[in-house]
Amino acid sequence: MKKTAKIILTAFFILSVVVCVRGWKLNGFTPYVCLDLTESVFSYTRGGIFSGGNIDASLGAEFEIFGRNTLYALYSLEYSGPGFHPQDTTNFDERSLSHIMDLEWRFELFDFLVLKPGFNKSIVYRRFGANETWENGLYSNESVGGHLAIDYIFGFTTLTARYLFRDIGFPNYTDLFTEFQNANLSSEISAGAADQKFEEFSLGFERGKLKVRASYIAINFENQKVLLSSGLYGDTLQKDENFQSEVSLKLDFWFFKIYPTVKFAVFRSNQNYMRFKYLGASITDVTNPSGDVTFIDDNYSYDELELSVPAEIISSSGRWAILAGIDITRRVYKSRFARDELNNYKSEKQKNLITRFSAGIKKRITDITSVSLVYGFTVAGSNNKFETYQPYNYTGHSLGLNYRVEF
Amino acid sequence: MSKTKLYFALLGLIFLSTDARCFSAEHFVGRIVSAPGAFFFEVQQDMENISPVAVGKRFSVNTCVFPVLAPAGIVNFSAKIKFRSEGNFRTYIPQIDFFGGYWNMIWTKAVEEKSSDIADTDFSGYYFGVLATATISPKTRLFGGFKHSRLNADFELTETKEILGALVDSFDSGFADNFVVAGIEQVKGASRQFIAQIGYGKKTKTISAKFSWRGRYFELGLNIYPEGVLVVHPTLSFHIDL
Repeated sequence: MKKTAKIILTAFFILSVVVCVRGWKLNGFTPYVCLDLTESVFSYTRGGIFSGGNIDASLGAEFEIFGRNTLYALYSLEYSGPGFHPQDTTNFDERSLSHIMDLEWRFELFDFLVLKPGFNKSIVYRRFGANETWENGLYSNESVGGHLAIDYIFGFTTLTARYLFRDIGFPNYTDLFTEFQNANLSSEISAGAADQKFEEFSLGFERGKLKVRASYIAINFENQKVLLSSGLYGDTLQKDENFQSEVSLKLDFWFFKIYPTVKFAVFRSNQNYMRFKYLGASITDVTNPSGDVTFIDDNYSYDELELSVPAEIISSSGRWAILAGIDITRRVYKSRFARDELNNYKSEKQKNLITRFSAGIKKRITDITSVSLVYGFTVAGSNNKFETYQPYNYTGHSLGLNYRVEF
Repeated sequence: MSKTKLYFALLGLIFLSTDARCFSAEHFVGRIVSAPGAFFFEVQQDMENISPVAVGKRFSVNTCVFPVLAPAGIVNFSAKIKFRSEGNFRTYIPQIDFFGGYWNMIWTKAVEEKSSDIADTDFSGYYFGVLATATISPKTRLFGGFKHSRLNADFELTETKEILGALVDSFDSGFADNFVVAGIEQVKGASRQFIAQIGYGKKTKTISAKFSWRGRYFELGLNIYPEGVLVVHPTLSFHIDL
């Protein structure tokens, strides 16, 4: 971790402690504390049993400074352990540990217009097994950035426009393909390959129980070049773009609550992919889908649709609730072909589908604490049958115990 | 024990057994043998008692009964003292507590006496720290602080031996780290509290969470180490508040 990041982290923590210790004696101070912990066991058809957990610990506060100004500060420590993930995202074994600090100044310019500039600092450690050290994770990263949001309020409707940026550095990342091509060199030759500038422009609309949001994300890589069919990197830098739209509803019918959400994403990347069947395979005809080395142009671009419908039925006392939900994610690649069991490309484009059902009970044990026991059933399917490194087709079960304290 | 406590104790035990079943017995023992320091560091944290001194009390002593004293045979002792009450001196000054503890696995000395290969053993640990606590609603207190934990796991052999091709005359698999701890306490009745807390080790990046139900003399806890050798540790402690 860089020295400046350590200083910012330490200063922010001390500030948070000082503010929290002193703050609630002041008028207009609202503290926020949340500890959410889930420990689950997983079982799936292609593997054995494994366990994983998630922790989200947040400490925050909102201060009314004077008049129309509000300062919002939040520190979160998040841990994400092994678990089921959609195909082509993260491995089941992957873990992450994140420190996230957010500061936002909310300035009410007029009754109908609120300006919200903000600052964010994040440190994310990622690793693939408990035997790795967090600091050395290939995808561990640090980011610093900010945002500017504008809320325009008219009647019961809020229109929000936001620009967000992050400067993300991956200090440990190395491009294995470059290393492989230059195996005779002993020095680091691809440092900073994943360093990137992340920008998001979004427009949101909220009225009562309806929420609509559309965003455009641009990820500009600072050093990573685009791979050519010759097997060499060209001069063009990698650029990823993601167009996302989301519509959600919060429906309450007395004791029955349901929150359907539909998301649609169009992800485009100019990066290509060279598939080597084995170490030392030589490049001959890269257009042959069954060859030892095959080049796939526009390998990463896809369209994705997600439907999520969580629901709960609350008892008349409010102490018990029955939870249920369904989540369906379908991804269709624009140019990537599916592979057979032998790692040969087929003629059809790759399509992934993952459907997750959940059902459980929740009990409120104190005013601020609840505990839930949730069973999950996952069905994953894909026309990609090459599953040496990641399962694409399986049926899984999970049982998770969740504790949540929120004040 | 109320039905609620019993219910959650059972759930904890179910998850404990499920967690252990995730690996074969050989694999599980292998993980402990490959990282005994890490495993016993978790056990040490089980016996650490980090929560604010109760309202109206000045001093508290504690010993962890299960799984530390029994069946592991680890003698342990913890204490915490209220240095300053909340609102004393200045209204915004929180309650300040100092805490600490020590443990020793005494039966390792018996092994040392009976063994001709082991010359000396030290299997012990200690911790200490400071906690600040402030009331945020009539029944809820928020606390945070720092602690230093040290585990000694040392074995000295009577003579140098070749183990896996290396000449070894002693083992030192101890651990030490500084932790940030934070949590929330909710009063459930006279001498009864529900406590949720989280700890984060700066050097080892150990993350842990604990939920506990504290009564007049006993505290039932559920410690969770997501990256640990054994993820869920149910604990039972005995304490006297003065």
